[in-house]
Amino acid sequence: MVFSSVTFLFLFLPASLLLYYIIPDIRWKNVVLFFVSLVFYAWGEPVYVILMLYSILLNYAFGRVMGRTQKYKKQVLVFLIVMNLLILGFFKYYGFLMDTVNSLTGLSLPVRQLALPVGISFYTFQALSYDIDLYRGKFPPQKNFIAFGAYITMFPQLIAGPIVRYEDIERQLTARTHSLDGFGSGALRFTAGLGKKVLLANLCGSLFDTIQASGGNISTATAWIGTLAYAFQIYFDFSGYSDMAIGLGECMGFSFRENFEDPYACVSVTDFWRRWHISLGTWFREYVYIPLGGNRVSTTKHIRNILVVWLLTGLWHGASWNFVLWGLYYALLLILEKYVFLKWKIPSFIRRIFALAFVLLGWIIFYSQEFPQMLTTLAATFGFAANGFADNAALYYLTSNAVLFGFCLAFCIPATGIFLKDCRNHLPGRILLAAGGAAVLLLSVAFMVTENYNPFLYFRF
Amino acid sequence: MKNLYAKIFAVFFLIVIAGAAVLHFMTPDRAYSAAEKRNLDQAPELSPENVAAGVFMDRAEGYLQDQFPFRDQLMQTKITVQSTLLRNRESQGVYLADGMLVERFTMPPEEETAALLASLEAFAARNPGPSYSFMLVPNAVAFYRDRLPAYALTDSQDEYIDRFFFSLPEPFEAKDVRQLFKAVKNDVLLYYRTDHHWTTEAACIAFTGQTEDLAHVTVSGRGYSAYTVADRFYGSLQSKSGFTGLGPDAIRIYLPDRDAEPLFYSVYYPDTQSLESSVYDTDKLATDDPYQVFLSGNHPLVEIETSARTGKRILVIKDSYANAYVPFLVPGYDRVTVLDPRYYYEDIDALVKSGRFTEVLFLYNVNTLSADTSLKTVLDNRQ
Repeated sequence: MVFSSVTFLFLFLPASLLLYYIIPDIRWKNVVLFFVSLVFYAWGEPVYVILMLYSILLNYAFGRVMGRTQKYKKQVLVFLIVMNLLILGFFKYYGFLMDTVNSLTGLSLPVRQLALPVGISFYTFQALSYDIDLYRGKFPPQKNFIAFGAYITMFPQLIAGPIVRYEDIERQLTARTHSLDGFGSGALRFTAGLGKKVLLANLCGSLFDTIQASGGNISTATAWIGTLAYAFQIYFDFSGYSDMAIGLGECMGFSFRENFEDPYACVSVTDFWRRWHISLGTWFREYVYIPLGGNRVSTTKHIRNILVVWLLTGLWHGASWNFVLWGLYYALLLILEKYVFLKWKIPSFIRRIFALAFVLLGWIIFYSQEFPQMLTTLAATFGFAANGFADNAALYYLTSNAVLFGFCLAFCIPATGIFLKDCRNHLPGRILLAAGGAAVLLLSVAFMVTENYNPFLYFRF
Repeated sequence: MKNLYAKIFAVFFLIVIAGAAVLHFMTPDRAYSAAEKRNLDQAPELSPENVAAGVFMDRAEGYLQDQFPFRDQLMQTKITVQSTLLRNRESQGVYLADGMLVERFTMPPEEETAALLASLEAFAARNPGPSYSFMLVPNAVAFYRDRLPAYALTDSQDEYIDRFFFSLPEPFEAKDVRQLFKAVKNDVLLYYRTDHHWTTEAACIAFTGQTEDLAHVTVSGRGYSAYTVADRFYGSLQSKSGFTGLGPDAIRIYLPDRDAEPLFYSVYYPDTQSLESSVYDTDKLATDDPYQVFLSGNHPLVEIETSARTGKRILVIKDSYANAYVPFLVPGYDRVTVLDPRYYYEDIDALVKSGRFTEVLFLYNVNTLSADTSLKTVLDNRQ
């Protein structure tokens, strides 16, 4: 079930909230949360819900084992890491691995293509964060199975993040407050995310699809417009989803960390990754980069560390070579920035332009599943386009989407966020927030009920 | 006080999500949407198999969307925001043009057109005797590009028609209406503003070649006059795109004048085995597709026998554009057989041989022909 579906918003959500709020005790609220989250997951994945339950049981049980032994603590951790990665690897990367082996060796080993269980990358990473931090002694093992199950399955962040680390919500699982104020502020946050997804991301997505459908017959201007449309689409899609997750969490008394901070306002590629999908970046830093030594090692090892982290980041996004290439592209950019560019004195607006250009080119690698298509698009953006610099189509896409792009741009700049935050401090601002929220909610519903099924981009990961 | 806005929004949010759910379950489901001209999804069956296979969940979303309270109004809101606030005047391949809705044209691959032309040639060669002609009618996009939004994307129908007629094989005669239409395109309403069909006047111009005084025309020596029979017509382009505000359109039909020599004819529809005395089915005027007044909509085959005694028999192989054109043929032939390949699954060669036709006319509009595959299938006679 996706948040921007009628089934979720008008059936699952009211029913779940009703159940959640009529039950007084927090332990029973956790039972409700666990139960409705399983329904939420089973709605889209009737079979794989068993796999998820197995994963929960595994991490819960061996987490408790780890709490009881000092001697074999490390062995238990290694076992858990291996098991979690095996499950993820089997369901996400097995087909890709076998295809690669087949094409490298010329063999034709049979490959059974499995459907990717939705959200597996997210919940496996959450479970791993629990295992590793438990080993590090950051908190005692969770003895309550329901509370642990609620942590892994919690429907707001179950299928597309943010990746909530156990240490951040350990206390909230047993003690959190519920209030109408908190609910309202959460609902407002959810509505903002819904609007981003339904009103901005989907419209940009349909422009992007139209341009993709024209194949290689594009001009340089069209290639850039298409890439810009994709950049807006993926940002509003994914950050909209995070807003909805954070908002829904808030509605139930949880407080999750932010996942995005105006990524397109970055001054460098390094800065971009501090602002984009923060929970994933944090995860890799905490559990891969720093354990490998981070930057407190020799230059060679540091470069190795960056390569490892970005290769994995690329692969995390999908079992496909373009994601590997995309990860390595960022590794290269980050190494260059670290050792060369950031040492130069360049005016900040030029840095911004270059950072954005690199991010946009990155999206071309990201969205092109086929190499020939990737090369055609990349060539087109550099002026080697079949239809010259600008054609009639480019002018049409630009004129008929100028207002949409204007809205997108407005919601990408930090000033808008600052303004909206400040609105809470004065009466006209608060009226604007409530009225604007109401308008966005109704308008989103209008767009939702007439749209056919519209899955989130981040479902594939 | 400081958080009053959050409390108010919380209540509003809950009223909207719970209220819509309650309204949905309180109001009866609709079977059909007049605004969208389609059947709406109905509640999926809740069975263990459906749930296990995920079918129930997949269909539930479509059902809930289709039966959502105030769906028509919400749809209207969406399209208005899109066309006015966002200034995007295109929806589902339909442009909100100046004063009319215009469908975009997409050039088909050249191989497809070549294959169709080859099938036409082979069909005529297998069935010698009658004279063959092809009337390819352009759509609104061919004449009103200047009314589309700036830089609107569409391929050129002129180019398609030029190519089609240039390669049209012997013995086909090309019937090109473009010059006639171009001359009157700003004076006569050639296409319905909200529908993809041409108007009866346009069909009349195509048949008679007459471009002035279209209220009274002469067809095969008989005087005919135009009468408005429907004036609340909201057509397919409106329901497809959602753009409203341009209609309603009016539909006119031509009837023989009182002093004209009487003509008797019968109209037989083999698929429904019904025999009628008019090419106009006035029952259809009350439905939400009143264009079906012509020949009662689309049928695989229609057989019209007349008392004209001209010795001429014609076979019309066509799409729905011809429905408004066929009434003009009636007084000039002893028999008019109308075949719609989209619904026809019989042996066409046998039909041509047994019908002893003197003429075979193909009548298509460009949008249908360029996207159609049924004509080639029928001509190749592979049922």
